[in-house]
Amino acid sequence: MPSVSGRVWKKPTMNPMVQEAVAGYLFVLPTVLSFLIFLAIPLVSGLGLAFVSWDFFSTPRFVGLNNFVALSRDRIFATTVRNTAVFAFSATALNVGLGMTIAIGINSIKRSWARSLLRSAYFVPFVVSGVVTALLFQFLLQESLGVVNYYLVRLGFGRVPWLTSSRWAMRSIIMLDVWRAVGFYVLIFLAGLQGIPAELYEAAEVDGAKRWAKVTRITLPLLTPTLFFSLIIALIGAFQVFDAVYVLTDGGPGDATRTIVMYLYRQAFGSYNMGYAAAIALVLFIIILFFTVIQFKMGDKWVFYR
Amino acid sequence: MNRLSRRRFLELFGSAVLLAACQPTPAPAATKAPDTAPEVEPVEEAEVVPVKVTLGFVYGAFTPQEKWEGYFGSFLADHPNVEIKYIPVPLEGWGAYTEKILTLLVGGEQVDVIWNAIEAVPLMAEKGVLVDLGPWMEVAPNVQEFVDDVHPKLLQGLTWKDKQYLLPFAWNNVLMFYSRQALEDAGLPEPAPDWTWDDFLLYAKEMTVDKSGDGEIDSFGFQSSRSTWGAGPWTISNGTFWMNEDFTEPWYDDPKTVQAIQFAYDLIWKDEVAPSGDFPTIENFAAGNLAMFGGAPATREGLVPADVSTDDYNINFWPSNTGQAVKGSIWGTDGYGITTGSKNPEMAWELLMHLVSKEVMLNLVTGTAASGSAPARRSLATGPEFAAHSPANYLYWYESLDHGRTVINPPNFAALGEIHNRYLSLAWAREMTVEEAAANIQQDMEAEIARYLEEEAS
Repeated sequence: MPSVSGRVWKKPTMNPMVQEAVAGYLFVLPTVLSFLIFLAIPLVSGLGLAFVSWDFFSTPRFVGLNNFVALSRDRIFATTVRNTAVFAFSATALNVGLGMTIAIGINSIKRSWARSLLRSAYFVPFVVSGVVTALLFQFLLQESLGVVNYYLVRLGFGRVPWLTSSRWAMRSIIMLDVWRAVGFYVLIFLAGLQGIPAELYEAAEVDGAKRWAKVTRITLPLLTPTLFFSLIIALIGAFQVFDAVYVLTDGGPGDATRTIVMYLYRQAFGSYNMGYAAAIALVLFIIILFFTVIQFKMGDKWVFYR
Repeated sequence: MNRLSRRRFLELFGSAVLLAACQPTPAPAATKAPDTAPEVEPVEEAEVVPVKVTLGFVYGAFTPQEKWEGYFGSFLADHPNVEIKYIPVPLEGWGAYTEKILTLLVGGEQVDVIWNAIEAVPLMAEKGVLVDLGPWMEVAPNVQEFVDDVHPKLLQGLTWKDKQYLLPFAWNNVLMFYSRQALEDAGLPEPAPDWTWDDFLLYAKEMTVDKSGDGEIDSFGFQSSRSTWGAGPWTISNGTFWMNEDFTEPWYDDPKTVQAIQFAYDLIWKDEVAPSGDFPTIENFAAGNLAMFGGAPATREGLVPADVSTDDYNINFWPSNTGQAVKGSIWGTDGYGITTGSKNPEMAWELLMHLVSKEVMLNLVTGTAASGSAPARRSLATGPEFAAHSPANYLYWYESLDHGRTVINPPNFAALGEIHNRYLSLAWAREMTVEEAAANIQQDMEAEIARYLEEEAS
């Protein structure tokens, strides 16, 4: 294009390879930026925070390993680790076990409308907010005026202190979690079941296999990858339990239902011990990492990939 | 394409500077009158355009925003340049409410005026987020009228280390609510102001009834709380409290404190005049299933939607176990303060004075306020409007302010409250004796106080 001054404007040239590389980088830039801003930087900051004393308002002070030393002596933290482990293993076993059983049951139903209805019915609680379901359970499980106790008394049983006794409070929370989350695992297992080729069952029938044999010899082995995936995500999620406990029991009675994330939250936003809370977060990360690695190691022995 | 010469650039830049200089200067945000009148002649043609001021106002989102908006009507009419940015904060307890406000402030939210309670004052003052109102009160012309009309304890309650951080708006203290119908059904006279624990127990037993005759109690004589607020009057009426005045020393090893907790516990498990577990107070009182409970002025408003009129119930001082009438109880107050991050402290102060005016506080007695607490102004709390919306013995509330104790409110109040609840919840679940619970609370509170004092010193 000729300019007013008569000089000719030349389009800047760029090596096509460089041009391609720049375009590529520009395409991944939004993802990289969001990863850095929302994940990497907070992760590194959190790691750094675990070694300082900081209350939000003053300047952070480096304290070395003091937060971890204090954590090792903190008996409430020890209780929260124990409670979280009880919840995590129980809820994972129940969610995955029940989810798989229900999915196999639903999958065996011939009528498609009934399958769809049951699938939706089990999944609906999962899309409701955790806080809402916890409030609902709080209403149902009230000791004096709760619906559950009302029917228990009518049936001749005594009132159960669902939320106010150490014996029952954790069971109530696990019950709530299973009621809410089992539908999600039903859906995952249904997807896994639909991936099993029908000809395997047909061949088994030709060989005279009974229903139970088909479940144990075909369904379960071919579901192991789905089972493995479900166990991993269920355990990771269960170790981070917070909302149900916060609403239902607030960690009580005593510390009977206090979990690691609840304690972390109280330390960060109740006592403003950000460094201590970050140390708890780091320990929780290590616990989850440990169990995930164990699961992967053990998975090599029992997961069957076609 | 023409290039911009250096000379042309300087010409354009100079013109831009000149134009900018000719623009009208915005008026300063401050609204405080200058000390001396300006000497320049006023320009008649010049129209003073007030600068738009936005005040961030933090309130407890336990009632709809419209209730709070009702407080600002005349202020906004008098200050057309001011707009209020309402910042609702969920209120499930003063500790969690304060945590959320502090997090908002740390997160950079522009907040000018906050509503908060006595519990939060030391913590927020220690964190340096509240303005000391003392210097403002010294020079403000209209503040004396307010101070003279407020109980000194309410003002004192909202100070920390001799500095005033909030101006009191409303307050509550726990006295005994009783149903007149339940008394009548049991053939009991209205209790005397100097009644004792024994009298109370007799009343509670008489009004605990199995109406249907199925062996299950349908109507309880009392509802027994284990919280520092709800069970506090039992300690006061036994001549003690949870902690000393400056909250540096727990008193859970005092036999009188243990006796008071034991009495509250026995009402459920030994005397069986109070229900165990959750038992919604208002609903059961309204339904005739509860004869007595510890309530505060705010409870009045809760009873209105349940169709309980002020003639249906009355209040009394707490029963005593000391041989002397107990006029004091546990009390708390709320109020308004200015944040240190306020960009318009002068306007925020004007708003503060408006919020504690008689006009706004009148909402507390007419049922149009965000809460049903008693107004901080004596003229209103003892006046005819308050009487019209209160039970017969309403003056007991104000009278008891002279003798009561404030709620536990040092900067680490949340941690102390958590310790109290941790062990008493186990005692109430019968998984620990009251003595064991009290001993554990004493030990953990001493450790927490030592930790806090050490942290403060460092």
